[in-house]
Amino acid sequence: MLVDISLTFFRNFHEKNFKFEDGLNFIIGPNGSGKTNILEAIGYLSQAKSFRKVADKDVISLGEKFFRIEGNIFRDELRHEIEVIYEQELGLKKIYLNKKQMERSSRLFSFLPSLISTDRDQEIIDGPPSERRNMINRLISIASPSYMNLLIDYKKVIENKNFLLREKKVAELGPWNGKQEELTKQIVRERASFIEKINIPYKNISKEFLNGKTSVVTYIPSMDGDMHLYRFIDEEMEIGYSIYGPHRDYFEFMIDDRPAKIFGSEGEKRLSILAFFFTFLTVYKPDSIVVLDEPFGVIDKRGMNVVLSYLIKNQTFISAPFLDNDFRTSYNVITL
Amino acid sequence: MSWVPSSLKKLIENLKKLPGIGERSGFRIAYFLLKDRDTLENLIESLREVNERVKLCKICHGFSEDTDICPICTDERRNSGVLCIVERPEDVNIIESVQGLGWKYHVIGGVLSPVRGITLDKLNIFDIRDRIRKENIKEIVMALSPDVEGDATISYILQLLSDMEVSISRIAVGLPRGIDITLMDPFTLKESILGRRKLK
Repeated sequence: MLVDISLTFFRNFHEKNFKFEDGLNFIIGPNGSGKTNILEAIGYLSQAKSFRKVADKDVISLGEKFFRIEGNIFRDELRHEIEVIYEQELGLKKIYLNKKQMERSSRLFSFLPSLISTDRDQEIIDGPPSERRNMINRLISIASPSYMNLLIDYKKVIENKNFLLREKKVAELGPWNGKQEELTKQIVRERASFIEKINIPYKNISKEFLNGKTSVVTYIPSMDGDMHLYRFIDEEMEIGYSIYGPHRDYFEFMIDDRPAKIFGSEGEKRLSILAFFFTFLTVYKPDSIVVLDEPFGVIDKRGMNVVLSYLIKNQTFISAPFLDNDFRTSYNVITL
Repeated sequence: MSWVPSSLKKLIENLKKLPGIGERSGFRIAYFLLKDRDTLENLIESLREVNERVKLCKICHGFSEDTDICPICTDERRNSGVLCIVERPEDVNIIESVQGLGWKYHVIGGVLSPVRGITLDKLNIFDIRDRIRKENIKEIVMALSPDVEGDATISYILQLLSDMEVSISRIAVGLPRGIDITLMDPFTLKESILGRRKLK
Protein backbone atom coordinates (compact mmCIF):
# COMPACT_ATOMS: atom_id res chain seq x y z
CA MET A 1 0.00 0.00 0.00
CA LEU A 2 1.21 3.50 -0.89
CA VAL A 3 0.95 5.47 2.36
CA ASP A 4 1.96 8.90 1.11
CA ILE A 5 3.82 10.74 -1.62
CA SER A 6 5.99 13.87 -1.46
CA LEU A 7 6.60 15.90 -4.59
CA THR A 8 9.36 18.44 -5.12
CA PHE A 9 9.35 20.54 -8.30
CA PHE A 10 7.15 17.98 -10.01
CA ARG A 11 4.82 19.61 -12.57
CA ASN A 12 2.68 22.24 -10.73
CA PHE A 13 3.72 20.99 -7.27
CA HIS A 14 6.77 22.76 -5.84
CA GLU A 15 6.64 21.14 -2.43
CA LYS A 16 3.61 19.04 -1.61
CA ASN A 17 2.68 15.92 0.34
CA PHE A 18 -0.40 13.74 -0.13
CA LYS A 19 -1.60 10.99 2.20
CA PHE A 20 -3.47 7.96 0.91
CA GLU A 21 -5.54 5.17 2.37
CA ASP A 22 -6.04 1.54 1.51
CA GLY A 23 -8.93 0.98 -0.91
CA LEU A 24 -10.25 3.77 -3.11
CA ASN A 25 -8.63 7.23 -3.19
CA PHE A 26 -10.36 9.90 -5.26
CA ILE A 27 -8.46 12.96 -6.44
CA ILE A 28 -10.97 15.68 -7.22
CA GLY A 29 -10.40 19.12 -8.66
CA PRO A 30 -11.07 21.46 -11.54
CA ASN A 31 -9.23 21.25 -14.86
CA GLY A 32 -5.57 22.19 -14.58
CA SER A 33 -5.43 21.70 -10.80
CA GLY A 34 -2.95 18.80 -11.12
CA LYS A 35 -5.06 15.67 -10.60
CA THR A 36 -3.33 13.72 -13.38
CA ASN A 37 0.04 15.04 -12.17
CA ILE A 38 -0.44 13.23 -8.85
CA LEU A 39 -1.37 10.03 -10.68
CA GLU A 40 1.65 10.49 -12.95
CA ALA A 41 3.91 10.79 -9.88
CA ILE A 42 2.39 7.61 -8.40
CA GLY A 43 3.11 5.93 -11.76
CA TYR A 44 6.76 7.01 -11.47
CA LEU A 45 7.08 5.12 -8.18
CA SER A 46 6.18 1.91 -9.98
CA GLN A 47 7.34 2.30 -13.57
CA ALA A 48 10.07 4.96 -13.20
CA LYS A 49 8.63 6.92 -16.11
CA SER A 50 5.67 9.05 -17.10
CA PHE A 51 2.58 7.24 -18.34
CA ARG A 52 1.87 10.31 -20.47
CA LYS A 53 4.83 9.33 -22.64
CA VAL A 54 6.75 12.56 -21.98
CA ALA A 55 10.47 12.92 -21.23
CA ASP A 56 11.64 13.20 -17.62
CA LYS A 57 12.90 16.73 -18.18
CA ASP A 58 9.42 17.86 -19.18
CA VAL A 59 7.83 17.05 -15.84
CA ILE A 60 10.18 19.37 -13.89
CA SER A 61 8.40 22.51 -12.62
CA LEU A 62 8.97 25.52 -14.84
CA GLY A 63 12.33 27.20 -14.14
CA GLU A 64 13.60 24.41 -11.84
CA LYS A 65 16.46 21.97 -12.46
CA PHE A 66 15.31 18.73 -10.89
CA PHE A 67 12.30 16.87 -9.57
CA ARG A 68 11.99 14.46 -6.69
CA ILE A 69 9.20 12.00 -5.86
CA GLU A 70 9.28 10.18 -2.55
CA GLY A 71 6.76 7.54 -1.59
CA ASN A 72 6.32 5.48 1.54
CA ILE A 73 5.07 1.97 0.92
CA PHE A 74 3.69 -0.44 3.50
CA ARG A 75 4.44 -3.99 2.39
CA ASP A 76 5.00 -7.29 4.17
CA GLU A 77 4.30 -5.48 7.45
CA LEU A 78 7.26 -3.18 6.87
CA ARG A 79 7.57 0.42 5.77
CA HIS A 80 9.69 1.02 2.65
CA GLU A 81 10.71 4.22 0.92
CA ILE A 82 11.00 4.73 -2.84
CA GLU A 83 12.68 7.85 -4.16
CA VAL A 84 12.91 8.93 -7.80
CA ILE A 85 15.14 11.90 -8.59
CA TYR A 86 15.86 13.40 -11.98
CA GLU A 87 18.51 16.08 -12.54
CA GLN A 88 18.18 17.93 -15.81
CA GLU A 89 21.79 19.12 -16.00
CA LEU A 90 23.18 15.59 -15.78
CA GLY A 91 20.24 14.10 -17.67
CA LEU A 92 20.32 11.47 -14.97
CA LYS A 93 17.51 9.64 -13.19
CA LYS A 94 18.28 7.89 -9.92
CA ILE A 95 16.00 5.49 -8.13
CA TYR A 96 16.43 4.54 -4.49
CA LEU A 97 14.70 1.82 -2.54
CA ASN A 98 15.20 2.33 1.19
CA LYS A 99 18.06 4.78 0.44
CA LYS A 100 19.89 2.18 -1.67
CA GLN A 101 20.28 2.99 -5.35
CA MET A 102 18.58 0.54 -7.72
CA GLU A 103 20.64 -0.58 -10.70
CA ARG A 104 17.69 -1.44 -12.92
CA SER A 105 14.54 0.65 -12.92
CA SER A 106 12.53 -2.35 -14.13
CA ARG A 107 12.98 -3.89 -10.67
CA LEU A 108 10.83 -1.10 -9.26
CA PHE A 109 7.80 -2.57 -10.98
CA SER A 110 8.12 -5.92 -9.22
CA PHE A 111 8.35 -4.07 -5.91
CA LEU A 112 5.28 -1.91 -6.56
CA PRO A 113 3.31 -3.41 -9.47
CA SER A 114 0.74 -1.08 -10.98
CA LEU A 115 -2.04 -1.05 -13.50
CA ILE A 116 -2.48 2.34 -15.12
CA SER A 117 -5.41 3.23 -17.34
CA THR A 118 -6.01 6.62 -18.95
CA ASP A 119 -8.49 7.96 -21.49
CA ARG A 120 -5.82 7.36 -24.12
CA ASP A 121 -6.42 3.63 -23.67
CA GLN A 122 -9.33 3.92 -26.07
CA GLU A 123 -6.62 4.09 -28.75
CA ILE A 124 -5.91 0.44 -27.91
CA ILE A 125 -9.22 -0.44 -29.55
CA ASP A 126 -9.54 2.40 -32.06
CA GLY A 127 -5.88 2.77 -33.05
CA PRO A 128 -3.68 0.76 -35.42
CA PRO A 129 -2.81 -2.92 -34.68
CA SER A 130 0.53 -1.83 -33.17
CA GLU A 131 -1.36 -0.22 -30.23
CA ARG A 132 -2.90 -3.58 -29.33
CA ARG A 133 0.34 -5.49 -29.92
CA ASN A 134 2.22 -3.08 -27.63
CA MET A 135 -0.38 -3.41 -24.89
CA ILE A 136 -0.39 -7.22 -25.12
CA ASN A 137 3.44 -7.25 -25.15
CA ARG A 138 3.51 -5.09 -22.04
CA LEU A 139 1.11 -7.36 -20.17
CA ILE A 140 2.81 -10.62 -21.21
CA SER A 141 6.17 -9.15 -20.14
CA ILE A 142 4.70 -8.53 -16.69
CA ALA A 143 3.28 -12.05 -16.53
CA SER A 144 6.35 -13.74 -17.99
CA PRO A 145 9.56 -11.66 -17.68
CA SER A 146 11.55 -13.82 -20.14
CA TYR A 147 9.11 -12.74 -22.88
CA MET A 148 10.70 -9.28 -22.86
CA ASN A 149 14.06 -10.85 -23.84
CA LEU A 150 12.39 -12.64 -26.73
CA LEU A 151 11.01 -9.32 -27.98
CA ILE A 152 14.38 -7.57 -27.65
CA ASP A 153 16.05 -10.36 -29.65
CA TYR A 154 13.27 -10.33 -32.22
CA LYS A 155 13.57 -6.56 -32.69
CA LYS A 156 17.31 -6.92 -33.34
CA VAL A 157 16.68 -9.65 -35.91
CA ILE A 158 14.12 -7.54 -37.77
CA GLU A 159 16.41 -4.47 -37.78
CA ASN A 160 19.24 -6.50 -39.29
CA LYS A 161 16.99 -8.29 -41.73
CA ASN A 162 15.38 -5.04 -42.92
CA PHE A 163 18.84 -3.58 -43.47
CA LEU A 164 19.79 -6.53 -45.69
CA LEU A 165 16.47 -6.35 -47.55
CA ARG A 166 17.01 -2.66 -48.27
CA GLU A 167 20.57 -3.36 -49.44
CA LYS A 168 19.34 -6.34 -51.51
CA LYS A 169 21.87 -8.69 -49.86
CA VAL A 170 19.88 -11.91 -50.35
CA ALA A 171 22.83 -14.22 -49.72
CA GLU A 172 23.10 -13.00 -46.14
CA LEU A 173 19.43 -13.29 -45.21
CA GLY A 174 19.58 -17.01 -44.30
CA PRO A 175 20.79 -16.78 -40.69
CA TRP A 176 18.40 -13.91 -39.87
CA ASN A 177 15.41 -15.71 -41.38
CA GLY A 178 16.37 -18.80 -39.38
CA LYS A 179 16.57 -16.81 -36.16
CA GLN A 180 13.31 -15.02 -36.97
CA GLU A 181 11.53 -18.36 -37.48
CA GLU A 182 12.91 -19.69 -34.20
CA LEU A 183 11.87 -16.60 -32.21
CA THR A 184 8.51 -16.42 -34.00
CA LYS A 185 7.58 -19.89 -32.75
CA GLN A 186 8.34 -18.89 -29.16
CA ILE A 187 6.59 -15.50 -29.32
CA VAL A 188 3.46 -16.91 -31.00
CA ARG A 189 3.33 -19.69 -28.41
CA GLU A 190 3.55 -17.18 -25.53
CA ARG A 191 0.93 -14.88 -27.08
CA ALA A 192 -1.50 -17.69 -27.89
CA SER A 193 -1.19 -19.16 -24.41
CA PHE A 194 -1.69 -15.74 -22.79
CA ILE A 195 -4.82 -14.97 -24.84
CA GLU A 196 -6.23 -18.43 -24.20
CA LYS A 197 -5.64 -18.13 -20.47
CA ILE A 198 -7.10 -14.63 -20.13
CA ASN A 199 -10.12 -14.96 -22.44
CA ILE A 200 -12.15 -17.28 -20.20
CA PRO A 201 -12.18 -15.00 -17.12
CA TYR A 202 -12.30 -11.95 -19.41
CA LYS A 203 -15.56 -13.15 -20.90
CA ASN A 204 -17.09 -13.40 -17.43
CA ILE A 205 -15.78 -10.11 -16.11
CA SER A 206 -16.68 -8.19 -19.28
CA LYS A 207 -20.23 -9.57 -19.03
CA GLU A 208 -20.65 -7.67 -15.78
CA PHE A 209 -18.94 -4.57 -17.09
CA LEU A 210 -20.93 -4.49 -20.33
CA ASN A 211 -24.28 -5.29 -18.76
CA GLY A 212 -24.69 -8.74 -20.36
CA LYS A 213 -22.58 -8.35 -23.50
CA THR A 214 -19.29 -10.24 -23.59
CA SER A 215 -15.83 -9.28 -24.77
CA VAL A 216 -12.96 -11.43 -25.95
CA VAL A 217 -9.63 -10.72 -27.66
CA THR A 218 -8.91 -12.61 -30.86
CA TYR A 219 -5.36 -13.35 -31.93
CA ILE A 220 -4.34 -13.88 -35.55
CA PRO A 221 -0.60 -14.56 -35.98
CA SER A 222 0.86 -13.20 -39.19
CA MET A 223 2.60 -16.52 -39.85
CA ASP A 224 2.18 -19.96 -38.34
CA GLY A 225 4.97 -22.02 -36.85
CA ASP A 226 5.53 -24.14 -39.96
CA MET A 227 5.96 -21.30 -42.42
CA HIS A 228 9.41 -20.80 -43.93
CA LEU A 229 10.43 -17.25 -44.59
CA TYR A 230 12.66 -18.03 -47.56
CA ARG A 231 9.43 -18.46 -49.57
CA PHE A 232 8.75 -14.74 -49.17
CA ILE A 233 12.22 -13.41 -49.94
CA ASP A 234 11.21 -11.98 -53.34
CA GLU A 235 8.10 -10.34 -51.90
CA GLU A 236 9.98 -8.89 -48.93
CA MET A 237 12.88 -7.76 -51.10
CA GLU A 238 10.54 -5.83 -53.37
CA ILE A 239 8.95 -4.00 -50.44
CA GLY A 240 12.30 -3.57 -48.68
CA TYR A 241 11.28 -4.74 -45.22
CA SER A 242 10.04 -7.78 -43.36
CA ILE A 243 6.28 -8.26 -43.73
CA TYR A 244 5.64 -11.56 -41.92
CA GLY A 245 6.12 -12.40 -38.28
CA PRO A 246 5.06 -11.35 -34.77
CA HIS A 247 5.69 -7.67 -35.58
CA ARG A 248 2.67 -7.94 -37.89
CA ASP A 249 0.45 -10.10 -35.65
CA TYR A 250 -3.12 -8.99 -35.22
CA PHE A 251 -5.19 -8.65 -32.04
CA GLU A 252 -8.79 -7.51 -32.04
CA PHE A 253 -11.22 -6.66 -29.23
CA MET A 254 -14.61 -8.18 -29.93
CA ILE A 255 -17.92 -7.38 -28.22
CA ASP A 256 -20.55 -10.07 -28.78
CA ASP A 257 -18.44 -11.46 -31.65
CA ARG A 258 -18.28 -8.14 -33.51
CA PRO A 259 -15.23 -5.85 -33.66
CA ALA A 260 -15.48 -3.33 -30.78
CA LYS A 261 -13.63 -0.81 -32.95
CA ILE A 262 -16.60 -0.59 -35.35
CA PHE A 263 -19.64 -1.59 -33.32
CA GLY A 264 -18.81 -0.62 -29.73
CA SER A 265 -19.98 2.66 -28.15
CA GLU A 266 -17.31 4.88 -26.57
CA GLY A 267 -18.43 3.77 -23.11
CA GLU A 268 -18.35 0.10 -24.09
CA LYS A 269 -14.83 0.45 -25.49
CA ARG A 270 -13.51 2.00 -22.27
CA LEU A 271 -15.31 -0.63 -20.18
CA SER A 272 -13.93 -3.42 -22.40
CA ILE A 273 -10.40 -2.18 -21.83
CA LEU A 274 -10.93 -1.73 -18.10
CA ALA A 275 -12.45 -5.22 -17.87
CA PHE A 276 -9.41 -6.59 -19.74
CA PHE A 277 -7.00 -4.86 -17.36
CA PHE A 278 -8.94 -6.04 -14.30
CA THR A 279 -8.96 -9.59 -15.64
CA PHE A 280 -5.20 -9.41 -16.06
CA LEU A 281 -4.94 -8.07 -12.53
CA THR A 282 -7.05 -10.89 -11.14
CA VAL A 283 -5.12 -13.60 -12.97
CA TYR A 284 -1.54 -12.31 -12.81
CA LYS A 285 -0.97 -9.40 -10.42
CA PRO A 286 -3.60 -9.29 -7.71
CA ASP A 287 -1.35 -7.15 -5.46
CA SER A 288 -1.02 -4.22 -7.91
CA ILE A 289 -2.03 -0.68 -7.19
CA VAL A 290 -4.52 0.68 -9.74
CA VAL A 291 -4.33 4.15 -11.27
CA LEU A 292 -7.31 5.37 -13.28
CA ASP A 293 -7.13 8.78 -14.90
CA GLU A 294 -10.58 10.29 -15.49
CA PRO A 295 -12.24 6.92 -16.12
CA PHE A 296 -15.83 8.12 -15.87
CA GLY A 297 -15.97 10.59 -18.74
CA VAL A 298 -17.77 8.16 -21.05
CA ILE A 299 -19.06 5.60 -18.53
CA ASP A 300 -22.58 5.71 -17.07
CA LYS A 301 -23.37 5.35 -13.37
CA ARG A 302 -24.03 1.60 -13.61
CA GLY A 303 -20.68 1.06 -15.29
CA MET A 304 -19.00 3.24 -12.69
CA ASN A 305 -20.47 1.15 -9.85
CA VAL A 306 -19.29 -2.09 -11.49
CA VAL A 307 -15.76 -0.70 -11.95
CA LEU A 308 -15.64 0.44 -8.31
CA SER A 309 -16.93 -2.90 -7.06
CA TYR A 310 -13.93 -4.57 -8.72
CA LEU A 311 -11.50 -2.30 -6.96
CA ILE A 312 -12.29 -3.23 -3.38
CA LYS A 313 -9.23 -5.45 -3.01
CA ASN A 314 -6.69 -3.11 -4.63
CA GLN A 315 -5.45 0.25 -3.49
CA THR A 316 -6.77 2.51 -6.22
CA PHE A 317 -6.23 6.13 -7.25
CA ILE A 318 -8.89 7.73 -9.40
CA SER A 319 -8.97 11.27 -10.76
CA ALA A 320 -12.28 12.96 -11.52
CA PRO A 321 -13.48 16.55 -11.96
CA PHE A 322 -16.22 16.06 -9.36
CA LEU A 323 -17.80 13.33 -7.24
CA ASP A 324 -21.32 12.43 -6.13
CA ASN A 325 -22.01 13.04 -2.45
CA ASP A 326 -22.71 9.35 -1.73
CA PHE A 327 -19.13 8.48 -2.82
CA ARG A 328 -17.60 11.29 -0.76
CA THR A 329 -18.55 9.67 2.52
CA SER A 330 -17.37 6.15 1.56
CA TYR A 331 -13.89 6.79 0.21
CA ASN A 332 -10.77 8.86 0.84
CA VAL A 333 -11.11 12.07 -1.16
CA ILE A 334 -8.28 14.50 -1.91
CA THR A 335 -9.64 17.81 -3.13
CA LEU A 336 -7.31 20.13 -5.04
CA MET B 1 37.97 28.19 -19.17
CA SER B 2 41.67 28.59 -18.32
CA TRP B 3 44.32 28.25 -21.04
CA VAL B 4 45.35 24.68 -21.91
CA PRO B 5 48.29 23.96 -24.29
CA SER B 6 46.95 22.78 -27.63
CA SER B 7 49.13 19.65 -27.62
CA LEU B 8 47.70 18.72 -24.24
CA LYS B 9 44.16 19.28 -25.54
CA LYS B 10 44.98 16.98 -28.45
CA LEU B 11 46.27 14.30 -26.06
CA ILE B 12 43.07 14.52 -23.98
CA GLU B 13 40.94 14.24 -27.10
CA ASN B 14 42.87 11.12 -28.16
CA LEU B 15 42.63 9.59 -24.68
CA LYS B 16 38.86 10.11 -24.78
CA LYS B 17 38.68 7.80 -27.79
CA LEU B 18 39.82 4.91 -25.57
CA PRO B 19 37.18 2.61 -24.05
CA GLY B 20 36.05 3.68 -20.59
CA ILE B 21 37.80 7.07 -20.73
CA GLY B 22 35.65 10.17 -20.55
CA GLU B 23 36.41 13.89 -20.24
CA ARG B 24 37.38 13.76 -16.56
CA SER B 25 39.54 10.60 -16.77
CA GLY B 26 41.18 12.00 -19.92
CA PHE B 27 42.24 15.11 -17.99
CA ARG B 28 43.50 13.09 -15.04
CA ILE B 29 45.63 10.74 -17.17
CA ALA B 30 47.04 13.59 -19.29
CA TYR B 31 48.04 15.68 -16.26
CA PHE B 32 49.48 12.62 -14.51
CA LEU B 33 51.67 11.84 -17.52
CA LEU B 34 52.93 15.42 -17.67
CA LYS B 35 53.99 15.26 -14.04
CA ASP B 36 55.62 11.83 -14.35
CA ARG B 37 57.84 12.14 -17.43
CA ASP B 38 59.47 8.69 -16.95
CA THR B 39 56.12 6.98 -17.19
CA LEU B 40 55.29 9.16 -20.19
CA GLU B 41 58.54 8.15 -21.96
CA ASN B 42 57.94 4.46 -21.20
CA LEU B 43 54.40 4.71 -22.47
CA ILE B 44 55.51 6.38 -25.70
CA GLU B 45 58.07 3.63 -26.21
CA SER B 46 55.52 0.89 -25.46
CA LEU B 47 52.97 2.37 -27.83
CA ARG B 48 55.56 2.64 -30.59
CA GLU B 49 56.80 -0.90 -29.96
CA VAL B 50 53.36 -2.49 -29.89
CA ASN B 51 52.42 -0.61 -33.04
CA GLU B 52 55.52 -1.85 -34.89
CA ARG B 53 55.73 -5.40 -33.60
CA VAL B 54 52.21 -6.68 -33.01
CA LYS B 55 50.24 -7.68 -36.08
CA LEU B 56 47.51 -10.10 -36.97
CA CYS B 57 48.43 -13.71 -37.72
CA LYS B 58 47.84 -14.63 -41.34
CA ILE B 59 46.34 -17.99 -40.39
CA CYS B 60 44.19 -17.44 -37.30
CA HIS B 61 43.87 -13.60 -37.35
CA GLY B 62 44.88 -13.49 -33.67
CA PHE B 63 47.88 -11.49 -32.45
CA SER B 64 51.40 -12.34 -33.55
CA GLU B 65 54.64 -10.55 -32.78
CA ASP B 66 57.32 -9.79 -35.40
CA THR B 67 56.19 -12.73 -37.53
CA ASP B 68 53.34 -13.30 -39.99
CA ILE B 69 52.30 -16.47 -38.20
CA CYS B 70 51.66 -16.55 -34.44
CA PRO B 71 53.29 -19.07 -32.04
CA ILE B 72 49.97 -20.84 -31.50
CA CYS B 73 49.60 -21.63 -35.20
CA THR B 74 53.21 -22.84 -35.46
CA ASP B 75 53.06 -24.92 -32.28
CA GLU B 76 53.21 -28.55 -33.47
CA ARG B 77 52.07 -29.83 -30.07
CA ARG B 78 48.66 -28.35 -30.71
CA ASN B 79 47.42 -31.39 -32.55
CA SER B 80 44.19 -32.16 -30.69
CA GLY B 81 42.25 -31.46 -33.88
CA VAL B 82 40.11 -28.82 -32.14
CA LEU B 83 39.63 -25.38 -33.66
CA CYS B 84 38.02 -22.79 -31.39
CA ILE B 85 36.26 -19.91 -33.14
CA VAL B 86 36.28 -16.59 -31.28
CA GLU B 87 35.25 -13.00 -32.05
CA ARG B 88 38.31 -10.95 -31.07
CA PRO B 89 42.07 -11.59 -30.76
CA GLU B 90 41.92 -10.95 -27.01
CA ASP B 91 39.34 -13.76 -26.65
CA VAL B 92 42.13 -16.25 -27.53
CA ASN B 93 43.96 -15.38 -24.31
CA ILE B 94 40.80 -15.69 -22.27
CA ILE B 95 40.03 -19.19 -23.58
CA GLU B 96 43.72 -20.15 -23.37
CA SER B 97 43.80 -19.17 -19.71
CA VAL B 98 41.07 -21.64 -18.75
CA GLN B 99 41.91 -24.62 -20.87
CA GLY B 100 45.18 -26.22 -21.83
CA LEU B 101 44.07 -28.85 -24.26
CA GLY B 102 46.20 -27.88 -27.19
CA TRP B 103 43.47 -26.17 -29.15
CA LYS B 104 43.98 -23.96 -32.16
CA TYR B 105 42.03 -20.75 -32.69
CA HIS B 106 40.36 -18.77 -35.42
CA VAL B 107 39.47 -15.12 -34.84
CA ILE B 108 36.57 -14.08 -37.04
CA GLY B 109 36.78 -10.41 -36.10
CA GLY B 110 33.25 -9.82 -34.75
CA VAL B 111 29.74 -11.15 -35.17
CA LEU B 112 27.26 -10.44 -37.93
CA SER B 113 25.40 -7.18 -37.41
CA PRO B 114 24.42 -5.60 -40.74
CA VAL B 115 22.92 -2.52 -39.00
CA ARG B 116 26.35 -1.81 -37.48
CA GLY B 117 28.06 -2.44 -40.80
CA ILE B 118 29.34 -5.93 -39.97
CA THR B 119 28.35 -8.06 -42.94
CA LEU B 120 29.78 -11.38 -44.12
CA ASP B 121 32.59 -9.78 -46.12
CA LYS B 122 33.89 -8.10 -42.94
CA LEU B 123 34.39 -11.39 -41.10
CA ASN B 124 37.21 -13.94 -41.44
CA ILE B 125 35.01 -16.94 -41.96
CA PHE B 126 35.62 -18.12 -45.49
CA ASP B 127 39.11 -19.48 -44.70
CA ILE B 128 37.79 -21.81 -41.97
CA ARG B 129 37.07 -24.48 -44.60
CA ASP B 130 40.71 -24.43 -45.78
CA ARG B 131 41.97 -24.73 -42.25
CA ILE B 132 39.76 -27.75 -41.54
CA ARG B 133 41.20 -29.50 -44.58
CA LYS B 134 44.85 -28.53 -44.17
CA GLU B 135 45.16 -28.84 -40.40
CA ASN B 136 43.14 -32.03 -39.97
CA ILE B 137 40.52 -30.36 -37.78
CA LYS B 138 38.01 -32.81 -36.32
CA GLU B 139 36.05 -30.54 -33.99
CA ILE B 140 34.96 -26.92 -34.08
CA VAL B 141 34.10 -25.15 -30.81
CA MET B 142 32.21 -21.89 -31.23
CA ALA B 143 32.98 -19.42 -28.44
CA LEU B 144 30.88 -16.50 -29.67
CA SER B 145 28.61 -14.14 -27.74
CA PRO B 146 25.37 -15.78 -26.59
CA ASP B 147 23.11 -13.22 -28.27
CA VAL B 148 21.13 -12.79 -31.50
CA GLU B 149 24.15 -11.63 -33.51
CA GLY B 150 26.26 -14.53 -32.17
CA ASP B 151 23.45 -16.97 -33.01
CA ALA B 152 23.11 -15.62 -36.58
CA THR B 153 26.89 -15.87 -37.10
CA ILE B 154 26.97 -19.44 -35.81
CA SER B 155 24.07 -20.35 -38.03
CA TYR B 156 25.92 -18.98 -41.07
CA ILE B 157 29.12 -20.85 -40.18
CA LEU B 158 27.09 -24.08 -39.74
CA GLN B 159 25.68 -23.57 -43.22
CA LEU B 160 29.17 -22.88 -44.59
CA LEU B 161 30.55 -26.10 -43.10
CA SER B 162 27.48 -28.27 -43.68
CA ASP B 163 29.23 -30.59 -46.17
CA MET B 164 32.39 -31.07 -44.09
CA GLU B 165 33.08 -33.98 -41.81
CA VAL B 166 33.69 -32.10 -38.63
CA SER B 167 31.87 -32.08 -35.31
CA ILE B 168 30.65 -28.65 -34.22
CA SER B 169 29.74 -27.50 -30.71
CA ARG B 170 29.06 -24.26 -28.92
CA ILE B 171 30.20 -23.25 -25.44
CA ALA B 172 27.37 -23.53 -22.89
CA VAL B 173 25.07 -20.68 -21.91
CA GLY B 174 23.60 -20.60 -18.43
CA LEU B 175 24.20 -20.30 -14.73
CA PRO B 176 27.48 -18.90 -13.40
CA ARG B 177 29.07 -21.23 -10.86
CA GLY B 178 28.24 -20.42 -7.25
CA ILE B 179 25.13 -18.35 -8.06
CA ASP B 180 21.97 -18.68 -6.00
CA ILE B 181 19.43 -20.07 -8.46
CA THR B 182 16.67 -17.83 -7.06
CA LEU B 183 18.61 -14.76 -8.17
CA MET B 184 18.84 -15.80 -11.82
CA ASP B 185 16.85 -13.99 -14.47
CA PRO B 186 14.27 -16.32 -16.06
CA PHE B 187 15.78 -16.04 -19.54
CA THR B 188 19.23 -17.31 -18.51
CA LEU B 189 17.65 -19.95 -16.31
CA LYS B 190 15.62 -21.18 -19.26
CA GLU B 191 18.77 -21.30 -21.43
CA SER B 192 20.57 -23.33 -18.79
CA ILE B 193 17.67 -25.78 -18.56
CA LEU B 194 17.68 -26.19 -22.35
CA GLY B 195 21.45 -26.75 -22.29
CA ARG B 196 21.44 -29.16 -19.32
CA ARG B 197 24.20 -31.78 -19.13
CA LYS B 198 23.46 -35.47 -18.75
CA LEU B 199 25.02 -37.00 -15.64
CA LYS B 200 23.84 -40.57 -15.84
